[in-house]
Amino acid sequence: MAQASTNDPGKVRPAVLSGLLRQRWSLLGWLAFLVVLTVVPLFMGESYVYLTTNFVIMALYAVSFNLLLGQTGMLSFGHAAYFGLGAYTVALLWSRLSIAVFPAILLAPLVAGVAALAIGLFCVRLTGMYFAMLTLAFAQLIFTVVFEWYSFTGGDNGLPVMPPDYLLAARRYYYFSLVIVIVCTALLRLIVSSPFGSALAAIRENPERAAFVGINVRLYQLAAFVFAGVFSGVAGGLMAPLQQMAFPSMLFWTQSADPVLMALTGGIHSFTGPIVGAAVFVFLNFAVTTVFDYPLFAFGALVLIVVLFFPGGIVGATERLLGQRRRGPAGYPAEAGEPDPEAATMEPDRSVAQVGSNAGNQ
Amino acid sequence: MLTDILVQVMSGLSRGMVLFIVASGLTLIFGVLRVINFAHGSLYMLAAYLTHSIAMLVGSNDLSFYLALLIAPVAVALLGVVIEVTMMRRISHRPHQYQLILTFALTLLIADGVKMVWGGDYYTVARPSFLEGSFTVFGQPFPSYYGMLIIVGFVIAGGLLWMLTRTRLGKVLDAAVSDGEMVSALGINVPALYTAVFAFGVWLAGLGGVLAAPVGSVSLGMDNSIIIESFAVVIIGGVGNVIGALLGAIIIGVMQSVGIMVAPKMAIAFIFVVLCAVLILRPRGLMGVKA
Amino acid sequence: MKAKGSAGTISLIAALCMVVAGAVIVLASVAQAAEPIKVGLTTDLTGIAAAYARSQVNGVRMAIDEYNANGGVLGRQLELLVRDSQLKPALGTSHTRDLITRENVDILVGPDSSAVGLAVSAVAKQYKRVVIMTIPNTPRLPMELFHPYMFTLVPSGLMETRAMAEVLGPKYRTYAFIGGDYEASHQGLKYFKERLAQVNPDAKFVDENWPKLGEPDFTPYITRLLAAKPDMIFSYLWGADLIGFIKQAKPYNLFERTQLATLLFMDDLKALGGEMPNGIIGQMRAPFFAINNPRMDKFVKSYRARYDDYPADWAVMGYEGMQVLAQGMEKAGSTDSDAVVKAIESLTYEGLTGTITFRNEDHQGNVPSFIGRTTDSRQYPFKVLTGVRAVSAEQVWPTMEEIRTARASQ
Repeated sequence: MAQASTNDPGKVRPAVLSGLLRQRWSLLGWLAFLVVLTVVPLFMGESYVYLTTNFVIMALYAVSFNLLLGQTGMLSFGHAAYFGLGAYTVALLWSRLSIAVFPAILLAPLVAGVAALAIGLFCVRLTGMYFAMLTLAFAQLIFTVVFEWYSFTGGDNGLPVMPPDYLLAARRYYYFSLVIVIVCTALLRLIVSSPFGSALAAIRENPERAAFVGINVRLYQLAAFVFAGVFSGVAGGLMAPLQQMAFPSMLFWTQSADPVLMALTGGIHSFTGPIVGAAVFVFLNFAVTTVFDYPLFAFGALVLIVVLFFPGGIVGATERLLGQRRRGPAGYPAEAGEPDPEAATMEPDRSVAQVGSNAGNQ
Repeated sequence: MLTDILVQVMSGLSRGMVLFIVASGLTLIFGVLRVINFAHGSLYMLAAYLTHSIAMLVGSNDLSFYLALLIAPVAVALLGVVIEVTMMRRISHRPHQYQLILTFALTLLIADGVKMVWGGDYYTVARPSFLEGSFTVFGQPFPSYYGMLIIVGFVIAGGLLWMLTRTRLGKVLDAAVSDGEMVSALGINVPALYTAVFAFGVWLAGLGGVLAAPVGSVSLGMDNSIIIESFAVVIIGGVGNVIGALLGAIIIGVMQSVGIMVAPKMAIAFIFVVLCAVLILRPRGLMGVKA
Repeated sequence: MKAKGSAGTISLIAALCMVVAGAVIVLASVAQAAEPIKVGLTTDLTGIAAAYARSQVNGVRMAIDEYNANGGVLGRQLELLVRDSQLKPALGTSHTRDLITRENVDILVGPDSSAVGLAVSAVAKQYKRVVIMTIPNTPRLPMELFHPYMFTLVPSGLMETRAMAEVLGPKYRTYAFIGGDYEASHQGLKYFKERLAQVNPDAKFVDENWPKLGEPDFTPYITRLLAAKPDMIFSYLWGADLIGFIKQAKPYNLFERTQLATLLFMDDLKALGGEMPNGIIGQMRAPFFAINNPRMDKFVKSYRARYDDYPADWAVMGYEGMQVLAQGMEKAGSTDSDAVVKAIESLTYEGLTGTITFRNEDHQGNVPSFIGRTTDSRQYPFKVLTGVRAVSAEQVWPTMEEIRTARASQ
C-alpha cells in the first residue's frame, strides 16, 4: 500500500488568504451556475430542456449518494432502492389514490428514508465489500417485490404517473425540479459543512480515531445512510413524473451503479464532483447514443480513463491542472492526498472489529 | 417424490458447479488482491463466445469442444494478465472502490466489444457427442453433460484444495489472503504473485464459460446473470475461502433447483434472501473466520 | 455556504458549457431546411434484444433506400434517423422526444421491447406524430393505452395466444405452461386459457412454470413438466430462454414424451440449427420461407444480396412498417399527422405477409399468425416450419366490447 502524499504544496500557501479567495470564487461560481441553469433553458429546445431536467435530477441522486462514498467512505451498491422507492411512492399515490405529483413528492423522501433506516440498521454493522453486498442484496429484494407484485406495482409494465396540467409543459416541470433540487442540494451542502459532516469525514479518515474522540460511529453512519436515502427518494420522486412512469428498472442494481460511476467520474472528493459527473453521464450518454452504435464502449472507455489517469475525477483533474493540491475545506481530502487507505479500505475484518469494540466503550 | 427431490438436488448440484468454478476464481482474486472483479462475468461470457467461434472455425464437433477447453480459458487468462499489469497495478494503492469501478468499466467495454465482434445474435454450442444423451439415476433420466459438470466441479474443488493446502504456492497464497504484507516480507515477488493469481482466477472464469456454453445459449447478458450470483456465492462462503465458495455454490444451486418445486414465485428472490440472512447473522460468511 | 475552491467552480462551468452547447446546437438545427422527409427510429440496439433491433433497422433501411431510388415519397427523399434506447424506457422517451423536437422528424417507427414501445407511443401521442409498431406487441398499446397516432403491424400478445389456443385446443386435452415470469407472459396465459375454454371445454391445465427472464437453468422446470405428463406444453419463452429450455430438455427426451408449442423467431431457428428438434409447434410472425408471393421472393432476394443473411421476422415487419408509413403519406398527399392517420385508416396495404388493413377502432393491422411444425429443410441451413397455418386476425383480435372494457378500466 502506498502512502498518502504528505508533502502537499498547498499547505505552504497562506491559508487565510487562499481561503478567502476561494470562498469568493466559489460563491461566484455557484451563482453563475444557478443563473445559467435558470436562464439558458428559456432559450433551449424542448428536447434539451428535458435532458437538462434529467441532469438536475441525476445530479441530486449523485450528490446524495456521495454523502456516503465521498463523505463517509461507505460504498453503497444498492442506492437505487431509495431512488426507486421515491419514484414508486409518487407513482402509487397518483395511480392508486389520485394524489397529484406536488404533495406526493413530499412523501417520497419519507418512504425512502424509512426504508433507508430499516435497511441501514443492518448494513452499518458491516463495512467495505460486505456493506456493499448487503446494500445490494436488500435493493435486489425490493426490486423483486416491485417486479413481482403485479396487482399493486404493475410489475414490469411499470406504473404511470402524469404531472398535473400546470407542470406538464417541459419548462414548467424543469423549474419545478430545479427549485426542489436546489433546496435539497443546499441542504446537503449544509450537512456536509456542519459539525455532523465533519464527524462523517472523521469516520471516513479513521473510524477508530473517530470513535476515540467520542463519535458514535454506527449512529453517524446510519444517519448518513438515511440522509442519502431521503434525498435519493426526492430524486426518484422527481424522475417518475418526468418519465411519466415508474419502472422496476429504476430499482435494479444497474441503476445503483449509475451514481457510483457519476460520483467517481466527477470526483468523489469534492461536493461538485458528482454534479459534474451527472452532467457528463446524462449529456454524454445521450450524445453518444445519438451518433454511435456502441454507447457502453464509449462510456466504459471514459470511465476507464478517468479511473486510471484522473483518480480525483474530473474535478480532481481540473484541480491538478491549476496546480492546487490542497485539502478541501469541508473535510474532503484533495485529489492527490486520497483518503487514508487505512480508513476507506475494504478490508472488513479490522474495521468491524474497531467499530464493534468502540461501540462497546460508549 | 423422494427420488424427484434427489434428482432435483443433482441438477442443482450441476448448476452449482459452474457457479463454483466461476466463483472460486472470484474468491481467490478477492482473497489475495482484495479486488472485487466485476469483469469476472464478462470474461466468462467472452470464453463462451470464443467457444462458439472455435466451433465455427473447426466445425462443430467433439474436437472443437476440447480445443475450446484448452484455448478459451487461456485466452481470457492472457487478457486477465493484460488487465492486471496495465490497469489494476496502476491503481492498486488506491481505495478499493476504484478497482471496483475499473472492473465495472471493463464490463461495459467487453459487453460492447463482444457485440462489435459477434453481433447481437445469440448462438448455441453443441455438447460433445458422448455427453449428448442421459443416464438413469433413481429411475429417472439425468443428462450426461450435467453428470460431467458435477464430476468436473468436484475435481476442480479437489485440485484447488490440494494446491492451497499441500503445495508451497498454496501456503504463500494462504498467507497472502490473511496478511499481504507478510508475504512481501518473506521475499516473494508480490506483483508477480498478484498477476498470477488474477490470471488463474480469470482462467477459472473462462473454464466456467466454456463449460456453460453448451448448457443453454451463448448470448449478451450472460455476464450480468452470472456475476451477481458469483458475488453472492463468494460472500456466503466467506471471502477468499474456496471450500466456502463450494458450499455457497451448492447451496445456491440446490436451493434454486429445489426451491422451484416448493415456492416457484419466490425463486427469483432466494439468492438475495440467503445473502441477506448470511450477512446479517454471520457477516464473515459461512466459512469465514472471525477476526 | 462554505468555500469550494476554484477547481470545483471551473468544473461547474464545464458542466454548464455543455448546457450552453446544447442550446447552441438547438438554434443551429432550427436553421436547417427540412428538405427530406425524416423518419425517426428509436430501438433497442443494446441489450438482450439487440439482434432483433438490428434486423428491424435493416428492414426499415431497405424499404427507405428502395423508395429513394425511385424518387422518394411525395417527391421528397426519405431520411432515416436511428437512436439506441438500450431497452431503457427513459432513454426511449428522451430519444423520441429529441427526434421530434430537435430533429423535426415527420414520422416514427416503433422500437423493440414493449416497455420502450409504451414510452415511445406516449411521446408520439404528446407530439401528435404517427408511429407504427413492428415489434412490441403488448395488447395495452391498441387497447387501454390507445391513441389515434399509433398503428400496429404486430399480432398482439392477446391475438397470438388466442391463435395458439385455436390451433391446439381441438387436438389436445391436458396442458402445461412455461413462460418467463413477467407481465406479458402472465397475460398471454390468461388469454390462452380463456380461448381454450371456448374451443375445448374439456381441456385443462395440469402445471404452470414461471422461470425468471434470463434463467440459465431450466432443469427443475423440465423435471416438473415430465412429472406433470401433459399432452401439450404451451410455452411463452422466447430468444435465449427458449434456446436454453430446448437444449436442456432434449436429454430428458421431453419432446418425445410430450409436445411443445411455442413462440418462435427466425433467430431461434438460426441459432439452434440442427439442434432444433423436429415436430415442435412454432408460432412465427413473419416466416419468409413459409410465405410464397412475388413480393416476398423479391424481398428475400434483395435482403440476402444486401446483408448476406436470411431476413428475420423483424426485418420483414420493419420493411412492411416503413412501406405502410410511406404509402400512408403518399395517399394523404402530405406528411401532416392527422392526414396520414386518415390515410392509413383507409389504406389497403399489399404487404409481404399478405394484404393488410387497419381496424379504425384500435389501429390494429389484420396480420395473421403463422403456426406450423419444425422440420428439416433441404433449402436452408436451419429447420423450417411445415404445414403452416395462418390464423387470421379477425378470428382472434379483441372485440369492441373487450376494447371498451379495457379502456374504461384505465
